[in-house]
Amino acid sequence: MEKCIGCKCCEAACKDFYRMPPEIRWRKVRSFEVGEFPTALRVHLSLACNHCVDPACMKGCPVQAYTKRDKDGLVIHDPTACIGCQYCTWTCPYGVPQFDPEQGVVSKCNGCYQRIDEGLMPRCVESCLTGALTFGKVDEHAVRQRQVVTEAPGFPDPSITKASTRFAWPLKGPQPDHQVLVAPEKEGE
Amino acid sequence: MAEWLHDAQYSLVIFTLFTQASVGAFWVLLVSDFLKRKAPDAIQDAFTRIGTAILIPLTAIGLTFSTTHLGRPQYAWRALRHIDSSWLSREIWGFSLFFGLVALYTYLWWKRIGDAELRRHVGVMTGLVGILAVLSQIMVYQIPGRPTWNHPSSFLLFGASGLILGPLAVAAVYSFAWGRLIDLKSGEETVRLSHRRLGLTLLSGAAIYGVGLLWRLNFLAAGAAAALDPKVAGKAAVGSATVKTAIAIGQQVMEQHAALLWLQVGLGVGVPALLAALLWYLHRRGAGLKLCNALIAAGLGMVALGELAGRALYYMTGRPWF
Repeated sequence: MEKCIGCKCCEAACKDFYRMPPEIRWRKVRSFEVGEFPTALRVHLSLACNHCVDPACMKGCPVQAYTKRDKDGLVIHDPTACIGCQYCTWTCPYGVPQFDPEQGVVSKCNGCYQRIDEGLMPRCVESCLTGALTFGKVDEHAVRQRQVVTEAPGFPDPSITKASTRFAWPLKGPQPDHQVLVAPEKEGE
Repeated sequence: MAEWLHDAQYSLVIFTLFTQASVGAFWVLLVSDFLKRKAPDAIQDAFTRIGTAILIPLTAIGLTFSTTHLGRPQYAWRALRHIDSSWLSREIWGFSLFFGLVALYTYLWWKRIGDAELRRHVGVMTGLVGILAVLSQIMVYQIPGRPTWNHPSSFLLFGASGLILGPLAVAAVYSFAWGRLIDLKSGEETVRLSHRRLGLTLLSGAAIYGVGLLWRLNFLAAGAAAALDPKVAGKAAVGSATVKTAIAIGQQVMEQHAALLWLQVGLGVGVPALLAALLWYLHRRGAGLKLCNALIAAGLGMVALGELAGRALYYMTGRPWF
């Protein structure tokens, strides 16, 4: 949240790479206001699928169109199995799965799993101008960042599905009053 | 398709109301069957038998509309796949099974009327499956992803819809059959008795529906008030407080569509209660059955309108909140 400038380059890169129809955006950048004057702050959240530990989309899907990979926890949606009931668009609190009326199925961010398998980064991470997006293991994130939290302004309660996304709050301005994980200092720092 | 129809999930409105009405109607007929177990009554049996004629159409219409909102309805059968964790899958299993059992129960009434014991066994099984199907249907909406639905009042509202619509539909069929398919004089006492029972059922249904609706309105108003508190209004909520944002959105939708709420209150709760009172009063005064039957037919139409409005509003309040 410190680094994101809300340029939506990540959105565009994702849409371009997957050739999505205009109304579908797997990654969305939203802007929120937090705090009180004179310390009020405008923050931008670039979000796609949170690849939850307990994915509500997968649990509720009647046709088993969702799978969660054991090796990295990515939640993958199979459009060929989907019947377009749109129940996952209700069960996901974060509004991640989106219905495409043209195709008659839902689609969502699959974490660029094919690129991950090739040792590449997801397109959004690769395209980010400011380095605001990173991808990796959740526990490693906690070590790399000074303040890594599961909650962010406007972001639906992550405890519902144990979202895997982590946020680094801006160093200036109002700070989160709980769930702050301060990483232990690394050797030599 | 008009946008408001899409927002109101018209296909799910029809699916849920018709299937709930079907389960409600089935239970009325099953109870009628059991009440005459010790002292068989050919007239009552004739009415019950005619009453079963609405079960298959009600369930079939409901199930048909369950597929019309699908992006790929040709693969609807795949929804049976995930019964181990998906309430939606369990719901479809439940109503598919209910439909099959209802067809069997109806067949037994029309083609093997002498086999009452078998019919009642099938009936009990069908009734239980119907209740489980409705419970699964309610559980579909007990999801944290849609906080405005994720409330116990959904149990009361969905259950009461079946309790009101089903018996009213059966009563309307009885009214139609009396004088046309069953002799006026010999059927009169049975129809009068059915009206007394209908009155009690409608009163119970209206009371449950009213409590459920008040509970839901209070839940939405309280959540919205917390979200719109001047101390936090205009700022992004964090963590569990974001749920209140969702409720505030639902409350705003409710206020925007207040006309639907009034229809729900007036026609969905008021009319069944008023109809119950009128039936009681008219029978006490010894009024003619034709007037009562006309009131039941009009009541069914008005209640159906109120239920449609209420259910559409229910879906409309379940807006995305992020």
